[in-house]
Amino acid sequence: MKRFLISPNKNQYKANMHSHTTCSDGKMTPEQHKEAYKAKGYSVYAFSDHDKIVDHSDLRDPDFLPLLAAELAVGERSDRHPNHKVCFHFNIIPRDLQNYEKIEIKNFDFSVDNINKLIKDIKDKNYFVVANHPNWTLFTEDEYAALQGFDGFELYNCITANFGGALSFTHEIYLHLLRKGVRIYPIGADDCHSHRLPLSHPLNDSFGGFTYILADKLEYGDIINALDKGDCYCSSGPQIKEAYIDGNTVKIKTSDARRITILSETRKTYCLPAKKGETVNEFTCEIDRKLTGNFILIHVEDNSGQHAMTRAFYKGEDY
Amino acid sequence: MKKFLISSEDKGFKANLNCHTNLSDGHLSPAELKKAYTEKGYNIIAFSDIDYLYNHSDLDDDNFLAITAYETEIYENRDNLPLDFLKCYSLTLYAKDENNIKVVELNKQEYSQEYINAFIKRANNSGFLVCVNHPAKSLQNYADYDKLEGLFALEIADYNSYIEGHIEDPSHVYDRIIRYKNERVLPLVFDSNKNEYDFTDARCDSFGAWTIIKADKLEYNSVINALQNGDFYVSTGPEIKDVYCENGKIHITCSPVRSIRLMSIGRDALIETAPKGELISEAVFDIDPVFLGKAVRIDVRDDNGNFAETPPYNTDELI
Repeated sequence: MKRFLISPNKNQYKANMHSHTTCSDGKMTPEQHKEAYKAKGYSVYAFSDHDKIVDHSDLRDPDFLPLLAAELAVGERSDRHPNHKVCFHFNIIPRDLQNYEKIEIKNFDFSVDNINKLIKDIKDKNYFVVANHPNWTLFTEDEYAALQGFDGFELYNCITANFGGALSFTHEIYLHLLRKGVRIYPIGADDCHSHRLPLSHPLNDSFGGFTYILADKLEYGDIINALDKGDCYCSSGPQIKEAYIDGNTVKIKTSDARRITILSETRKTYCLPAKKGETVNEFTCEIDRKLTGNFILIHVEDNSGQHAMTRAFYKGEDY
Repeated sequence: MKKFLISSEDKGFKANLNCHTNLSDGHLSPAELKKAYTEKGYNIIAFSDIDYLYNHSDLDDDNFLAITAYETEIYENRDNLPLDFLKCYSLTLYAKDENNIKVVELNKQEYSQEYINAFIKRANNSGFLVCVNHPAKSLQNYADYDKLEGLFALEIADYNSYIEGHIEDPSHVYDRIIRYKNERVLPLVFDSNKNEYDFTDARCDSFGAWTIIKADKLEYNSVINALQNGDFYVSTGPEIKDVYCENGKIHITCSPVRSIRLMSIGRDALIETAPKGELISEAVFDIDPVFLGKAVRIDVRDDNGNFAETPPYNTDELI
């Protein structure tokens, strides 16, 4: 029986899940964000200004859905240069548009244990929590694996990709977490601050990372439900149009790709590379369930070196 | 006065530093591989068959040098699981003396950092340089390397792994090694080719990742010295031409690329990015040890997602 991993019967809403406006340290107004991003085909927008949720429902229209959000931050207190201090930033998104409690962090003693308590407290207040720019925090993979309870993981963050010392596609940490049994969903985002540069400037931190959210309708509840189920994937370029598994046969259709890969819990992979300079759009293969462990996921890379990656699909649940 | 780290006036010898022949699990003979690679402009191949060490100097000529090397692996011992489930240390050992064809004693049941450390020490004492291969394909992360000492290099891109669908680049393991370890570990990239498929096939695993070694002459001792000293850069596409320091600044020239990045050990890099529709070939950065930290390296990326990278340089030595 055919089980869709990425269903062509749902709409793929393009989302920027991390942004900063003039409500905090961004340089563009919320209205300017909407105008710029709608023009580029975005439908969902998390206005995640620092430390506070600002309701931008006035920007709602049939083709544009603002998400309530805020970015919270905790970090080491030391005399070290900011470029070397360990920190943890995360976005919180209320699941209920009408009813959400304010979150404030005071006198935080920075440690993984305390972060876990904080995330639990926030999750108990009905929030969806995303770990931001994982490489930028300077945590190791094992420190990340000790964190508990967050829902989303910023696999691609545009501003840190533009400025990052470690480069921003954090596949290693993501795969490490999945293999440790952590259930998290891949988020792509800009984290745009608009740094006084025009949107056409290559270092302008817009339109680089996005999340495709698969839902039937562009309504707050539908989008949150999709995020809660992981009906989404992260991208900095490629699109996954359809993917299903039927018995042991996996079929994937994508935008023009340099390679289409099925990764798994183990080192077993199935890959269709294109010849140099050419592209592929479709990949069908038989997987061996005994060798792929408890999950598979899909990775697509295009000829610009940009990536798309899905959540883990679990044996016995998703196929 | 200019202090050159890489000079375009020095001859660069193009090398594939891991190559499997039909003496182990490859499909072509050493002579066939020499022919194929020299036709593509290579001067050096490290013939690194699995657990088989052989002196291929009979293939040497004025334009070609064979490096005596071998590859070996230790897998976890875990519940009789298939190999695909198991982490492994995959190592390439380069003989400092081309006539050294005695493999280093290894107990393949002993998977631990402690044992690998003892092995690296024995290998170093026996006249070998040790490189750890493809951490992502090996299912490893920084915690598998944090106690290792005496490593010559870590592989940050592997073309055979790439064709199989693994993602080694960007290497966050290598980032952490640079950040946390006190000894200098160099970055390598290579094909690890087995040539199961024809050279025209999309699945051909040759000619994807190489090292440009700046040795005085194409002779064994000269090349090994250059490798040990870090007189090289690695690439999957672009060319690094000159890197020099003068008056507190570092100057970089390269083939036309999208971005030139001076990577720090912190969260951010210094970066020059080309305007849309254009490419850049040079960049100049201030050397600020407080911002950059103890070590820097240069990463250049083209529009195809390919990169070239230098070894790490101590920041204090650049001023």
